[in-house]
Order: sequence, then structure tokens, then C-alpha cells
Amino acid sequence: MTQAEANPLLRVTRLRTSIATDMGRMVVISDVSFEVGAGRTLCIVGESGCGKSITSLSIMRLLPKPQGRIEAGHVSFLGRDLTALSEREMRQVRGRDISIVFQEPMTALNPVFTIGSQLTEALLAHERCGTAQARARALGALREVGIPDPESRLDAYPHQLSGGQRQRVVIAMALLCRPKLLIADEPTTALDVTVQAQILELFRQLRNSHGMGLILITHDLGVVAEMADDVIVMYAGRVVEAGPVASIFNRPQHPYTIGLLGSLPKVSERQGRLPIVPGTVPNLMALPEGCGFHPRCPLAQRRCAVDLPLLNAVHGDHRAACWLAPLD
Amino acid sequence: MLRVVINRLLISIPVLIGVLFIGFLLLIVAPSDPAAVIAGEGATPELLAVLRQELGLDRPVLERFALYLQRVLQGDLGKSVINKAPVIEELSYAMGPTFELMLCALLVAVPVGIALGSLAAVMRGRWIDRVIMMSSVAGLSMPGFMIALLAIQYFGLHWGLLPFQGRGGPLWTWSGILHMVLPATTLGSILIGPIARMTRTAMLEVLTLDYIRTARAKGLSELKVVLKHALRTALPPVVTLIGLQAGYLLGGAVVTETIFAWPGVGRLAISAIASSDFPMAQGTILVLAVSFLIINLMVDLIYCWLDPRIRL
Amino acid sequence: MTQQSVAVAAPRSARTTPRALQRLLKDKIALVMLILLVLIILGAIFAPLLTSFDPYRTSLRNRNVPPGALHLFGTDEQGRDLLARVLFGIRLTLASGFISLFLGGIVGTAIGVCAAYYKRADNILMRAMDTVLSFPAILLGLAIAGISGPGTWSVILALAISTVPPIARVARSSALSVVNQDYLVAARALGLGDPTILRRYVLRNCAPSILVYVTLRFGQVILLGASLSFLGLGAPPPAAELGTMVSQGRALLFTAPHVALVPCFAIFIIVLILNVLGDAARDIFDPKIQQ
Repeated sequence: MTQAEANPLLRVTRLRTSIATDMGRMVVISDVSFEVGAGRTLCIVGESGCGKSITSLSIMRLLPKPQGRIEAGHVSFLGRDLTALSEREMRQVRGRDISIVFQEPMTALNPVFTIGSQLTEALLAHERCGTAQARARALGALREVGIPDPESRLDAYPHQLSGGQRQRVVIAMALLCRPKLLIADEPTTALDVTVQAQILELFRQLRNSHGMGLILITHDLGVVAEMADDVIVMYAGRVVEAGPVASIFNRPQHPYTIGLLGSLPKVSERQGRLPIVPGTVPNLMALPEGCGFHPRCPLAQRRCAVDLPLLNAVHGDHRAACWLAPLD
Repeated sequence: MLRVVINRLLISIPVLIGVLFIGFLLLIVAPSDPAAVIAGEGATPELLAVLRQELGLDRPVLERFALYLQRVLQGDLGKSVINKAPVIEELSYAMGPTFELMLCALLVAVPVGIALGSLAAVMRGRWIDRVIMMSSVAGLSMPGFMIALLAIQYFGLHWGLLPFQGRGGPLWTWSGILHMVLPATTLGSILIGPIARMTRTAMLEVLTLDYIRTARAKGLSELKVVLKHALRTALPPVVTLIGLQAGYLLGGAVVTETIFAWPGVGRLAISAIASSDFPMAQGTILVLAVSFLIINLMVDLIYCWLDPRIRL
Repeated sequence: MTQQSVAVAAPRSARTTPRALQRLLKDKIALVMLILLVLIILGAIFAPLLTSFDPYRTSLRNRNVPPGALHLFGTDEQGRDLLARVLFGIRLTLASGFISLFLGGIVGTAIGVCAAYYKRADNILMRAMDTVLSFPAILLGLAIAGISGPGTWSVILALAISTVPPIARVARSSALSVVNQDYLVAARALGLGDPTILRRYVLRNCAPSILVYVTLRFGQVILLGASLSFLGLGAPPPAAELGTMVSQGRALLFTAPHVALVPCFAIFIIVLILNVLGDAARDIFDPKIQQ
């Protein structure tokens, strides 16, 4: 981090999570560490299946039960270790201190309850307020995310809203209690460009006015460039590169990051999607020896197939897990 | 909503016609000649011929069916061969108790079944889940009369706790309630197993859905997540199942009424068939079939009401 | 992809059978149930050899004897040996359940396969099935017993008719998954006639799911048959029919409860075995079929 903080909002240290499958227990993320300061934005990038979503579920302790399990590591939020909290204490953190916006807008809302009741429910779970007051705040939240005609939307059912509107409802729900940290998993994928800009602007505002920390999981390098303070790149359940956004974009150190950024014409390009890196994401049950990326790596050497490179400082806060780093 | 009702009514029409035709068959294949019954012994062949013509017995079958339909639609179901009372009158006395019995059975079965099924789903894989699932398979495998006989044997005869013969009056009297306990629990217990199994399956499926995760992410308590979000959305398949099981409910009602001497339509049907009282048998089958259709219509309505996506 | 699926889909049923058997052997409860069922069936077949008592011979001196060494299950109100009667009753129960499932299964499969194969008949056939399905089996039983008089065949007929629509549905849905496959088109292009195609490809593919459904249904059919004969719509006394025996023994519940309860438990145990086996069969062969 550029400004070293004594006690950041969130500090994840050496997190390892496993999921039980039919073929046995599978470690899906390991040795994941990062920090998010108040009022700052961390972007997590990587192909699907690299462990981004599992990381966010681990922080919230919402891993699928009973298959998912945090094996090792700590998640320290304002100095409290979330992995050590009781379920009851954790419940008070969820939705009030840390909120999460999930990726799937079409299925994230319960089809049989009205938007209003699902919004106020989040509020009533954490704060003592009357139903009228809760409704007024839900209305405000809907207005904030730019839902047209919010009054009538409160009494609508999810199926009566478009995908983009539903996604905005989910975002409104997450922001309702003014969380100190927001984890957003592909929050703007379902939205068109203008609404996307509006949502990102709202995030920025809350970041500045409330000091909200933001973890943004995204495929969209344009969004990364626009929003991020820091970036971590994940591959096959591990962090392969981490650092300030400018440094990552200008001097990527890991061959995988270079692959991701490689074909992007300009960093400032808004709609830049992750380009395709040749090869496929490895099966987590049969990870190769050594560096997980070596079978796809154009620069792989003999050592890469034997020893696992760890995250090492390249310059300043910029770190990479590659035997060849620094590349320049 | 309206569409669902209309759809159900449309499906019901061929069923109704089929039932009416069966009722009609029951009357015409009756071994005894209705004309001879009416004329009494020692009637002259001339008198019989006149009577047959009057009753329309000499017309073609389809025409007789049309006449039969006309009579039924006017509420004339004929007269009992045994006591000469109009069938519709006897049925009107018997319908109330049957309705009351089935309703009370559902009031027992639905909450208990749903509670057990949800408990099993939440405790998936633990011993309590296994116990519930094993007992529900056992319950599914028990003939309805076995449960009734065991209940009579212990609660009625052995410990003398509850009455098991007949109806004790209207439900708002103490005796009415006491007499209802055993028949309603027996009939209800037939449905507990299937409902519990279906609830468990539906709950397990719902509990993995995204919106359950959303509810947890809001910081709701696990109890609220399960009881409000999961159970509420797991209900429609359970309601559908109850509709599918309505036939068993009806069959169970016939058995239960027979065993507990409950003065309902089912007992009437059995005694009518046993005594070859064809007009009465025809009437009871019609009533049972119509009540089956009504149960299914109600199930459809409840289903719509539970799912806002169809409600509009 | 399509080529692969053609290669894989056709021999599917043949290849899954041994693996399914392996899994059945692994499921210990199901295995025990299977052994019990085989024992019960053998017991029913060889009933005359297993007991020296005649299920119909009355003995006024030995009325309502409780279970003991001589009469293992006791005797009934006319002094007939209950073990012998239960064994013969199981014979009748299993046989009538089997016959009705067989009849209903054949008719239902024929209707379902035709509905899937001849698209024009589909709608009308399945509508007809819906109508029959809307008849609760108990009403069918009452009506048939009313028209043709109570008796074993009335019960069998009612059970068979009530089995037709669900079997037709299962057969139709699994036949539908075959009729559009490439290898059927190929078979037709080779000039094979409808009967050959139906027999060799469609029926063979439907067989596993129909068999699973029949196993699942067997318990219900027996329960229903027992209820119908309990209500006096089946074989009349003194027939050694489990449901009839229960209804005869009902009057003695206070003095000699075993007379009614022994045949009750016989039905319960058979149906329990069949239900557990049916569940296991569903899990093994066809996890898609839901209750």
C-alpha cells in the first residue's frame, strides 16, 4: 500500500479455503493475503474459477455448508478476526459492517417477496427502526441507485423488474446500512454503460464521504483502471501479482498479468474485457507441480515446473509470484 | 390466476363426464330390473312394459345417458333401493362429516409433515434427519387401516383414552373434538410421510439457491433464513404434492370412515356397494369425484397465491 | 459432439446395468431388503411346503389361539392357522400386484411410446391419460366393484387402470429422449420399419426408467389393493387375502388382536421392503425420477 496504515479496514492473511467434492477435498484458494484501507478500492482480477468469488465468500463466511471450510489464515476486520467470531457475532457483521453484492442479478432476489420487504428486512435485522422509517430508507436507497419510479417498485416482485433493475436493487440492499466495506462481485456486468457509470459514481461517492472500503471483483479492465487503488491478480487459487494499479498496468511482472493486459490497446479503453490467454484454466484437483501457470506460460523454465514461486516484492508495494520477476 | 382456474375447470370436464358415465353404468348394469323393483312382486308383463317405457329403459343407451345427465343436473340422483329415501338427501347428511374429517386430517398432516421435512433438511445427514426419513418411509409403507387399528387398539381399547366409534357432534363441542382426534390423526398420518419427504427435497434444493445466500449476507438469523425465505419458496412443490395425494386422502377417508363408523360419504359408499344399492353407490361416487376435483381446484388456487409469478 | 453422443447414447442401457448392480451391492440396506424380498417370494411360492396347516381348514376347538410354538402366528376366529393364511395371502397379494402392474405396464408403455413416436397422437393420448389420472384409484375400485361385483379381478383391474397413466408418462418422456437422436434417423434411413425401431431402440431405452417406476409403484399398488380388499371390494371371506383377513379380524381387536394385526404387519413389511428397494433403484438407475 502506498500509505502504510497501522490498522487497515480489512487485512486478509494467508487465507486457505477448501471445498468438499465428490472426489475429495479440494483446496480452492491458498495463501491469499491482501489489505483494503478505509476509503480505498481493491480490484481482484482473474479468469473465472481462479478463486475470486471463493475469496469473497470466505471473508463473509458464507461458503456453501457443509462443503466449504476455511482451512487456515485470518480475516481481520478493524482488528477483529472474523474467522474466530461466533455465528451470532458474524451475523451482526454481515450486511451492517460488510456487505456483498453477488454476481447473479437474476437469482439473487427471492421471487416470492416484494422488493420493499426484502430491502427493509436487511435494515430491520440490524437497526431498531419502525416500518415506516425503514420503508422511507428503502425508498431512498432505490433512488440512490437510480431506479425509476421507486415508490411503485417497492411493492413489485423481482420478476416484474428487468435484470439491470434487479441488480440495482441488490446494490441498494447492500448499501442500505452504510457498510464500512463493500464486496462487489461483477456488480455492473448486467448493466448498460450509463447505469454502470452511475453505479460506479455512487460507489466513489460513498468511498469518499463515508470512507467505505471497496473490493471490486471484475473482468472489466476499464473498470479496474477507473476505480482501483490497488489490484491483485489471481490464478488457480493463488495471488500471482499484487500492487498499486498504475504499477501493475504500466509494468506488469507476472507473465499471466502480461497476457491479460497484453492485447489491450490502451489502459484507458473503457470497455476492455480480459483478453484470452491461450490454454485453459487448470483443474484444481490436478494442479501441476511448481508454478500453477507454467503449462501455459510462454516464458516457462525448468525450475517453474518444480518449485512454487512465492509473492516477492519487485519494487515498492508491487509484488509478483514468478521466478523471472523482475522482468524489466 | 383466472387462467389457472379456467384451465382446471376445462380439465375437469372430461373427468366429470367420465364419472357421470360410470355412475350411469352402475345404474344400467345393475342386475336387478328397476321396473321389476318398482312394480313389486307379481307384476304383469304389461305393467312392466309400461313402467319400462315410463322410465325410458327401452331407449338407446346414449339417449338414456342424456336423460340421466338431465336428471343429475337437476339434482335428482334417484332413490335408495334399501330405504327408498332420495339419494341426494342421504348424501347431504354425509357430506358434512366427510368434509370435516378431511379438513381436520389436513390440519394435522400439513403442519407436522412440513415441520418434520424442514427439520430433516436443515439437519441434513445428522441422526435426526435419518430418523425422520426412516420413519417417513415406514409411514408410507403402512396401510391406512393398520394405523387406524393400532390407534384403536392402544388409545381406544387398551388405555381407554379416546372414543373411536362414530361422530360426537359438531366440532365446537367437547365430545365432537374428542371423537375427531383418532380419525383425523389416522387419516392425516397417511399424508405426513409424503409431505415430509417432499418438503425435505424442496428445502434442500432451495437452500442452495442464490437468494438464500443473499438473505444470509444481509445478516438474517439462520432461523429466519430457513423459516421465511427457504420454507416459503419450498412450499409450492409441497402444495402440488398434496394435490397429487388427494386421491390417497380420499381413499384414506373411505377406509377411516369405515373403521371409525364415521357417518360420511365413504362409509355410505361401502355399505351401498355391499348391499347392491346401486343408486346410492352411484351418488356417493359422484360426490367423491366432485370433491376430488374441488380439492384439486383449491390446490391450484393456493399454488397461485403462493407464487407471485403466476398470481397476476 | 453429436457424433460422440451417438456413439455413447445407444449402448447406454446395456453398459449401466453392471455398474448399477455394483452400486446396489454397495448399498447394504438395499441388499438386505433384496434378500428379504427374495426370501418372502420364495416363501410365498413354496407356501404349501413350508407349513403343514391348511389355510382354509377350520377348527372350532382352536379358535383365537395367540401366537405360540404350534401356531407360530396363532389362529383366527375359526381356528385356521394364521401363518399358513398369511403365506397364502402374500402369494395372492404379490401375484395380484404383479399382474396388475404387468397389465398396466404394458398398456401404459404402449400408450407412452406411441405418444412419443407418433407426434400426431401425442396430444390426444396424453390428455386421455390426464383424465384417467384424475380418477383416484379408490373411486375406480369402488366403481368396478360396483359394476362387476367385488372380487380379486375387480381389484386387479382397478389397480391396473390406475397404473396406466403414470407409466405412460414415464415411457413417453424417456422415449422422447430417444426419438430425436441421430441413430434413430439413421435406422429409419436404413429402411427399418416402425415396429423394429420401436422394439430395438425406443423400448430398450425406456426399459430402465419404466422398471424403476414399476419398482417404486409396487408398494403403493399393494397398499391400495389391501385397502380395497379391506373395504370388502376384493376377494370375499373366507379367502386368504391379507386385506380381507384384517377386516375379518377387526371385530376381535380387543380379545384377539393378533388376528387383525398379523396380516397388517405382513403387508407393512412387504411394502416397506418394496419402498426401500424402489428408492434405492431410483437412486441407482435414474436419479431424475421424482416421487
